[in-house]
Amino acid sequence: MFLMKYIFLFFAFVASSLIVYSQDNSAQQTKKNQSTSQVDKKKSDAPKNVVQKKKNNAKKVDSTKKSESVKVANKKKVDTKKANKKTVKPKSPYESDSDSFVAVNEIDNIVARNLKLRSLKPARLCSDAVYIRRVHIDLCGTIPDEKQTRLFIADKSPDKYAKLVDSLLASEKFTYRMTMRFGDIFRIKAEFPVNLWPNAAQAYSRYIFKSIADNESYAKMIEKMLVSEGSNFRNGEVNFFRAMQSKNSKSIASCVALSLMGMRFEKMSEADQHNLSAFFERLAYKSTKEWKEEIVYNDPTKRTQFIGMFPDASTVSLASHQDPREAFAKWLTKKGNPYFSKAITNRIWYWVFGQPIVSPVDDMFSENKPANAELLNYLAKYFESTNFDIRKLCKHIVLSRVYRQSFIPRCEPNDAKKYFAVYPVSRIDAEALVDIICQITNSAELYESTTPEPYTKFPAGESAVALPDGSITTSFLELFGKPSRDTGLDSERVCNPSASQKLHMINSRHIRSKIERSPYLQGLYKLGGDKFLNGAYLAILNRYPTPHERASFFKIQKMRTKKERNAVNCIDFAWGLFNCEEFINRH
Amino acid sequence: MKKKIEKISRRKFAKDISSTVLYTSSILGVSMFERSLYAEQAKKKLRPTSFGKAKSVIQVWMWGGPCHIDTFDPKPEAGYDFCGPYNKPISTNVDGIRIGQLMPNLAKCADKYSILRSVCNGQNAHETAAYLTQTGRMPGRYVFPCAGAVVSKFKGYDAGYNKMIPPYIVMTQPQGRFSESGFLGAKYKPFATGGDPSRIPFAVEGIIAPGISRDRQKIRRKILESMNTFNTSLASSGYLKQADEAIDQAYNLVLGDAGQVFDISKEPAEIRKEYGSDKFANSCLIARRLVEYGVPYITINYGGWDTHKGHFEEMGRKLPSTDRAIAALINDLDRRGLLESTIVWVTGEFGRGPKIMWEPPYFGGRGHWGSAFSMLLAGGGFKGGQVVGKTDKRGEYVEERYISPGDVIGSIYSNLGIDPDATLTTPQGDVVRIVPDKPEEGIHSGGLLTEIM
Repeated sequence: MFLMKYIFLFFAFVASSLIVYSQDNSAQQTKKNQSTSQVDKKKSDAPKNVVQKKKNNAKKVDSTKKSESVKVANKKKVDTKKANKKTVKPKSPYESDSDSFVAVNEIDNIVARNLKLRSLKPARLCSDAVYIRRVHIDLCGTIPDEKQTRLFIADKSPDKYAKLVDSLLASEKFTYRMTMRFGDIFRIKAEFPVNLWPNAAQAYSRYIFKSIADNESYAKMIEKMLVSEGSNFRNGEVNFFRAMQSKNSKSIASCVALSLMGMRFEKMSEADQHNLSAFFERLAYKSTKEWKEEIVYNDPTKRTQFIGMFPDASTVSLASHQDPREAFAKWLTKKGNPYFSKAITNRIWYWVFGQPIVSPVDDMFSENKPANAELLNYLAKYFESTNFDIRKLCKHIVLSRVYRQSFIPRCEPNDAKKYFAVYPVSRIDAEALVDIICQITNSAELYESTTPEPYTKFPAGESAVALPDGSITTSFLELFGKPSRDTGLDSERVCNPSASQKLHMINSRHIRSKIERSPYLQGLYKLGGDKFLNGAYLAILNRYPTPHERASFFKIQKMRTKKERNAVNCIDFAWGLFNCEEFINRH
Repeated sequence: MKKKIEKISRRKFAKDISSTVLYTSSILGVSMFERSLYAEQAKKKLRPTSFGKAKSVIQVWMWGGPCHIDTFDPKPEAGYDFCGPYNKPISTNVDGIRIGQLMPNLAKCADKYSILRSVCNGQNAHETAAYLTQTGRMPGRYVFPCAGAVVSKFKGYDAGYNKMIPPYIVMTQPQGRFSESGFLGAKYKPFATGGDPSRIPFAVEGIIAPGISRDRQKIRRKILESMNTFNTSLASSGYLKQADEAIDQAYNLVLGDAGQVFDISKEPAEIRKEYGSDKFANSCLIARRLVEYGVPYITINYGGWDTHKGHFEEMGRKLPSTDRAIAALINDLDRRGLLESTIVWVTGEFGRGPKIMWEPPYFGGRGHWGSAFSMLLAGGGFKGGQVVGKTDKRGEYVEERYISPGDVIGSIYSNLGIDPDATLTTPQGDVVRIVPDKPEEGIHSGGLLTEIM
């Protein structure tokens, strides 16, 4: 029986070594397969099915690939055994074998040209394990589970990436993620200082959610919002004209500039400010008998002829029955208006990829220049050509070779980041982070607002990404930089690490109880050993542990007292996985 | 303890008339009279003698709004409809000052603190009142940071504060109804300890994990360090520099000595008895220890004062222990010679309506009242044993000497040695003063509290 296993192992290894063409691997793999097969034998519920075994071995090969970068000691042994071998730098577990930059779409061509001009080397292609986790987080604010990860890595079909992306874009999670992003810019917040009021904040959020769920053209969504009239409760989109501290034309113009045009009102000339505000001078507000209901409407007493100037200096002349807001909405959302399409594409690129083309994303047309003007122009035109289809733009981005780069730079790190020669590492946003932690540990957070009456309570298990109202928050979300939605500025969101955040992850009761009480993880703690290791790494980091990591687990286990050797050691390692940089960062 | 008998003098009559005129005229906005006070002070660039005396602030934030006439501004003459069962205020150890009958401990040390009786913010909504009282500003274009955040900047980060414990602490939960850090951003948010100070050990969130021994913390750190596959691959990039610094700082706090500050089990039994053993008392004790450590601003987030219903029952439950703890804190600081350099500021976001609401559904409750309320201010250069300002005979409106929250905050900044002309830059790039050079529209101000500085 043992011999059978061994023969199959050998064949599997031979087959897989054809895929892995680095010669240094073979000696190490034999060693590894021997050791892993022994460990397999020890497992009480090791799969008896031969086919299953083969699949396991294929996966084991993946894990051995990942071991190389840290197997410095072993490498030395290998080198002494094989003389005349070229010292090949061990590949990272996070990168796939390919060293070439093969363009998938025009994004790649443009970036490649720019990098060549600047003599910057792009990063390698990232591994499948990295890709599936990355695209889940960027599009949906979640991570794949163990089964999804395994299947994706094992899948050999070339269209698996497109299929994965399609399924993510079709999921409700994507809609919530985009709604959250727009909620941040549009300041969807019930309480002070935006004071939308809870019902209105929810209605506003619902409008955005529905538009995105229906895959409505972004231009249409904005146009409808800009010309809207009605009740803050029943016509959610009118809240665009209420989501500011003082409701006057200048304030509204300021919000239009910031949220829709990526421009800072304060940096515009006085004349431009005046001209932009003029389009919003006819708005009026009135209350009804319903508590806190407010109607937003065009004041009929202000119907006069109107001559206005748009920010691009073009003018418009309207008769008294025509609505200046309508004229502005048409100007703004028309194809070819850079203030519109460039502003939104820069933002979407930034949300999905992590590094903006123009920074900051809400101050695009002043002194800040694009890192790659051609890319911005192209993306804006592309977005227009899809009729402002957000999903199509996202798909275009995440299937590009540029997006699929590893996070390890191969040129000067700051330049690599700025010019898109690497996927930028950054801390996961607060909402997605807490959702992911809850997802892994099958725990839930309680989101509610007790100001004002009537209270807002969400059922347990509500996702933070899905929270419609910026006033609803927890100390965890605040600590990890959830934006307050007071100003709508992108800088409100803080993704920098801090000692307080680390303290919370290390020691807080909040995180501890999730790690210790998770039914799924408890199951793993009971199993211990390799079962625990594989399960924990796959669930938390979406990959297998490297042999080095495996070795350090058993080493530390030996150091423990008898009492702490099993469950406690596992809990501490699970804790370690939640606290390591690999978990808490987008990569 | 003699009580001074109040005689109606010509002077007082004139004062009454002028203050009525002031009040009436100030309905239309800030009066010329008030504006000139500010301008005068600004021109003279008054630097009171207490400038720079203080190093720390302990703010007792009694949110919900405690009733001023039941505490520091009793009005027994107003009748049962106003003072309810609390119609026998007690004299203090300062001639002429009397406070609510449920506060005997504070009565014995009235020479150490001053009472501000004529604070007015004109707001009856929690959020706006809280914002105004903590920032000194009316809501408007910017979301201002509160006094704590400003102090943590000027006396903390910008003053070279590099201790392990952050310079702005709130016990135990963040204040919630307004953004403490305002436009200054996440860095100036307070560190909320979480946990329950009554439990030993006080599981200050993140610093002490009950059930994890120091040894196990060390093993965990080792485990974390071993999980460095990701870090190693980015070693030369510098992308994880901030994260590495953050984790080092965090572990300094966990495994270093700074965490001991929160451990009150080391305090002698008499001290624990003097403060009391409830959550608020323990928070006060920890606040003292934090002052000794050198934290510039500590807020004790002490809520439950929003007593629309069951007001008197709740006061009966809360006031004695509140009184004991605050008196203990003041006396303890004084004994240790810390009172001269520590400001103790006790306030809510407003007071409560002097006229009791007997009708259903309140059945003897009090509503919000922002037209006049009281604050307590002690130490840090502020004179003790004084009363600033006066309310009318029912405690409903200010009769003499308006105090705006901005006046109080400005005075605190002054005693801390913060330049009143100091500015902050908003994210939009605008430069704003931390203390406005003239009172904002709608705010009644009598200027800085020079009477006690």
